[in-house]
Amino acid sequence: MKQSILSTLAVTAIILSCNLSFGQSTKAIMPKESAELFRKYCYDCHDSQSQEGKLDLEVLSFEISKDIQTAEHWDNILAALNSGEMPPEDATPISDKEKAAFLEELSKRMVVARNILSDSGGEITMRRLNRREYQNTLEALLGFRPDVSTLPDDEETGGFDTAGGSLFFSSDQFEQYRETATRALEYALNSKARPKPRTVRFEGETISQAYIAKAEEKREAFELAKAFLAQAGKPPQDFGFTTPEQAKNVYDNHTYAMAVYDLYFLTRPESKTGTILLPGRHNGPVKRMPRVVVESWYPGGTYKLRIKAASYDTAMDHERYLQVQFQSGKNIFTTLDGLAKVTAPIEDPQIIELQLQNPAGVKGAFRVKQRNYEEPWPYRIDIQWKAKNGAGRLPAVWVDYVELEGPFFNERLQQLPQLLQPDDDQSDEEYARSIITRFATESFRNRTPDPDYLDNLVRYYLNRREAGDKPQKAIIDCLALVLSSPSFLYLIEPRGDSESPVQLSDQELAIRLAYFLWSSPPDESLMAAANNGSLSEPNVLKTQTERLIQDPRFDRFISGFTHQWLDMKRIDMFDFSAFDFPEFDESVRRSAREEVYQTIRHVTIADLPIDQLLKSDFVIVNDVLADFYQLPDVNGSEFRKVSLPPASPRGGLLGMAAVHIMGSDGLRSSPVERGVWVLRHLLNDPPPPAPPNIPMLEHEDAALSIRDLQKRHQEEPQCASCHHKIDPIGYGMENFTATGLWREMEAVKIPPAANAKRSKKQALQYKQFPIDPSGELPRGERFTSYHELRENILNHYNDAFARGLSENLIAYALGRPYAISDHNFATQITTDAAEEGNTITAFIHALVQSEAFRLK
Amino acid sequence: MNKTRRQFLRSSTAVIALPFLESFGFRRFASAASQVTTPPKRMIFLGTGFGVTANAWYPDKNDTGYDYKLPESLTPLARHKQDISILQHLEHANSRDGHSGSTFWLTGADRFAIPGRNFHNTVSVDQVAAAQFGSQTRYTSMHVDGSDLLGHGAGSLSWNQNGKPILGLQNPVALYHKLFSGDSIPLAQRQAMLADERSALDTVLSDARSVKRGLTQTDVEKLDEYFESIRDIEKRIGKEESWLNVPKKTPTNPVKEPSESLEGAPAVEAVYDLMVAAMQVDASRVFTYRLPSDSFCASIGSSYTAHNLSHYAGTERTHDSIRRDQAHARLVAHLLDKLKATTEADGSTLLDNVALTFGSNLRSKHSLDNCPTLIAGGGAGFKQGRHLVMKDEKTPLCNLWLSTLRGSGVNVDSFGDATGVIDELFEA
Repeated sequence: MKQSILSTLAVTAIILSCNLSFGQSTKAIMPKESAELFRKYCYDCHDSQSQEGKLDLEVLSFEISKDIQTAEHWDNILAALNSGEMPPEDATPISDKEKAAFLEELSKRMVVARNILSDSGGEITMRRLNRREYQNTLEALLGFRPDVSTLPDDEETGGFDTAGGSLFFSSDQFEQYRETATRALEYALNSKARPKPRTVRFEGETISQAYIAKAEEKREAFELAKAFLAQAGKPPQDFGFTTPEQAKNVYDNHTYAMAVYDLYFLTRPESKTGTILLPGRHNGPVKRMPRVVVESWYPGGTYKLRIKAASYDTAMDHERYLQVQFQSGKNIFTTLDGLAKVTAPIEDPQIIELQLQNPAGVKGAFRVKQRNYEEPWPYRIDIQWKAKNGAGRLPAVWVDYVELEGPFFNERLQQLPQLLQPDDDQSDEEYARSIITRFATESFRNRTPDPDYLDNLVRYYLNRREAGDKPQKAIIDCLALVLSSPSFLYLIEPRGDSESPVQLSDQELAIRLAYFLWSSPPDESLMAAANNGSLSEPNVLKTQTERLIQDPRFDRFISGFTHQWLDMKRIDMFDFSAFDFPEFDESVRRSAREEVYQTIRHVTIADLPIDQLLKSDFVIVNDVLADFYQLPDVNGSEFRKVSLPPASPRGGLLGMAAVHIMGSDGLRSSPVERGVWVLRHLLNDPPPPAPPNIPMLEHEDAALSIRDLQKRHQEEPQCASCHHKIDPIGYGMENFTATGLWREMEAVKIPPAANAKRSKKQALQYKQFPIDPSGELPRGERFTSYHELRENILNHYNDAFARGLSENLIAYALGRPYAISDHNFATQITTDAAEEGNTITAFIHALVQSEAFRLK
Repeated sequence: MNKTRRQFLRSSTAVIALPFLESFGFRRFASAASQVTTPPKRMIFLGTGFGVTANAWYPDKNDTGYDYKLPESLTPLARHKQDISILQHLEHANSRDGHSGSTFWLTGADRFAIPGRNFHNTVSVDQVAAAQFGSQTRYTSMHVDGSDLLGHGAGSLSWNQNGKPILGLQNPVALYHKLFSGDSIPLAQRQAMLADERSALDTVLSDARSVKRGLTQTDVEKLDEYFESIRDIEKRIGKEESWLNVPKKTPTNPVKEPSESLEGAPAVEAVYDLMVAAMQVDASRVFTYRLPSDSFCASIGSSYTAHNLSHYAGTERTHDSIRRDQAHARLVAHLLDKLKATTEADGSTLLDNVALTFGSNLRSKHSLDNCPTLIAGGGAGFKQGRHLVMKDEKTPLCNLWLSTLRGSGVNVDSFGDATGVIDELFEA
């Protein structure tokens, strides 16, 4: 209960300052008559005896502004009465007159209460670096991206991963930090010189020629099988077979096998200079289909991969891709960079260059193959083609050669080992002290380490040396301890002797700003501005903020913030079967996620108003997504602006595949998920969290349209109270399939009879339903189509969207949940941003320049 | 404990021949063993993350008592029907998160108990037991985490006295090495390593003390987590030191080192075998295991991920979901076989002295009521072989945890939001 004492203290301090600055009433108190209404209508369930929903109105203070918790209780009461949730249907309804009077009193006083409580700015709890920040910070120090996968994922605790109060620490974590840091330092400080970049070329024909040789062997085996079967008496071993069945098998399969070799290699003149590539395995005689695997020769660094390639005229657009994966053991890392569209014809191949990372410390290889489309059932297409041409699917891409150049390293990483070189006349102790002091100061973001602490580290080093460790190993162990110490792991903003919030120092401001916009420590320029004391000047702060936004590291804010703001973890939750969604694959999924980030990035950098996220006449896509959206002439894996034809459903978040994928369950679109998402993230009107333990609507065993299925939501009163607001918005997005393709009809799979034999080859039966996209928004705006839904949200809810962004930015930037006391703060940011054109940069400036951002 | 520790410290500073140390350790172990007239109590908690296929896993609610029909998903446990019980109508009133089958399963905590924080947890039942049982064994408790943890939620099954997660070993190989390897490093070197650890901890503590100055009360509380963590490690080192000269034992039927490549069901089987081996050498008395999810589904030939299966509907996914439950039942049956096959000094079996729970905080899909609960073993004095449906549909799951604790001789006043023990468990 320390918490409540604290809040009381904070409130006392604030009431004083309110008196001085606003001259407003110092308390918000509900009139005594309200107790009468409670007694009459509410005590049945919410008196001290029953306390249903853990609400005891008998003890609830009538001083709304008493503390934040009290105000939250009253806010809940307001919401429950406003929404009609209370009193429940089976209880005596409050007369309209009494209700209106009570609500008016309460809403008025809530505003006063908010004003009173708002100056607290909320207590910011000292926070630990979250996993993303820890990784970025290590990268800034060491010049490479270390593996942090053994650390706990801080997003799992809910809310933003910057919320200090929720970022916990345990003994296991200490050991994980120490181990992660040791491994990273061992890699970074490796005394062996890193290799100079070199180039290795892998010719495609070595692959096709190997298949051709294999075909020759097969032909010989066939002749032997024929000879064996034509005679009797001699055992199969004389012909090179272990059993008669084996010989028979070779004989029977020969035609099929040869058809496959012919199709892919033997009849192709281009086999002499290169090879076709195919994804996955083949269902027929050639088990492993051609791919190019190039081993990297150093565990880490950046590599350039140059591929001379072409695609066949017969290939479909979505097949004309090369996919590059980094493969290490059975773990396969796939990067989006490793996907490239091949458009050149065989006569005139093109050269594709990709930059790829070899994760530090991991031995592995780059694997080039054709983009894999039907991942869950790789054989299906081959089976269909075998019926047509006796062999298999037509190849789509061909590769002349693959060239790997590298490794390239970050300059800092290259220089680090030299820093460990001792000066000539240094003693071992002096050597250790100078390195440790320098490293600790930088790791602690320019704070001077405690002298005792440094002494302890040096002593630790000397002990290790005495025990027989080499200097390098001993120093790595010391530096790993630095990276496991609180001064490194926590963003520390001591308040000193002051009881109430005080201004951040310029250095602290630099750190807070850098972790907000880069999820990384400040760079030299930002630190310099802090060190000369100018950063706290509004203009300098603004210029620096501007600079940070233009820097590539701002991408870390975009992905980190957006992923959490828009609840994007759901995008990875479901598999989509290739049977039902042949156009969808993992590349589409990854590109769809990236589209959201890249669009927000574009809107920010191009200084567009955030309305453009609700509706725009362009999309920011790469080739994969352009193919998926059927937008012509987009080649190359970089995301770029593409103008949309008029009346396109794309443009703005509502038209993005990512949003539709999140609003599905891997089988069908979900108007509920989509409606909730829109309410929560676009309309800033989050519905109450889904009540647990309510059975979900089942849908696989009956071919019903989604509207028919959801009817039950409207029939049951406890569902209808929320779903009447949620589902209609989702209906407006029904023209998008579960993966986000546009559709005019809803195709519903007809489930096979319960006792039917399950077969993967079985053709699927669908029932078609017309889509009715009409519905209504919470303030009553009706729409009859998706386009009208989008238009209505743009015109009537852009203010709500802006406010939602402010509230989320507050929570993310200050590292604490958005609270009722932030109401005026959010209003201020929203208003300031509106005056500056509603750009994302304007929101960020408004927040960074605010008092709350600069207090500790 | 103190005496042992003093003796140990004295011996580690003096030049004493190794054989003496070993015999010292052996004697200590032998004397500890001879003091035990009754076999020790043990606990096993097996968390499945995403719940079960409700229709095929739960017996009919009207079909209770000893003579109930084992449902389809549990048929592999038929030979152990007398030694297991299924409980219905247990739940955590505070649990609200439909994707966390493990996070609060053994704690019953309210995630939002502290205003302004998104996450909060309290000590788990296994750790309450470990605080009492753990002083006798090399490892206070042992924890394994399946390689992929979908459906389990944040952190761990096990949460320490401060409500912070305790990490598990990642695979059966790690468990094997913890149990049976490491003695090859010379004693002096192991002692030096531990001393080294201590000075490393002292070093980071000096930084922690220096940053404490000028922090607000909330910040100081946050920093306390760091201090607590370091203290926990110091305690563990202290314990390791006192066990340094006690050689690790091998069971009479030694377990082979599991292959690195085990995943899914074969990995679970290996972990179960190692748990039994650990009990045979009394390496620990409290075990928790977050069972693998995605790799488990893949290992039984399902093409669906664990999350997809948890939303089972229609024929395909329901079919696979039931197969997954059956595979788990088969593995639990295998574990029970092994527990029955090991005899204690007094003639009872390991199973007679263990309290085993298999289940999750999630029933099926996102439902958190009527948590799937399968119990086995005589450790807590429960009368097994029954299907028990609690009269109150919202009986706190913590009542089972309290019953398990008290029945096993851990005398605690309460646990979580328990309202009391479940009397039926103790009555025939």
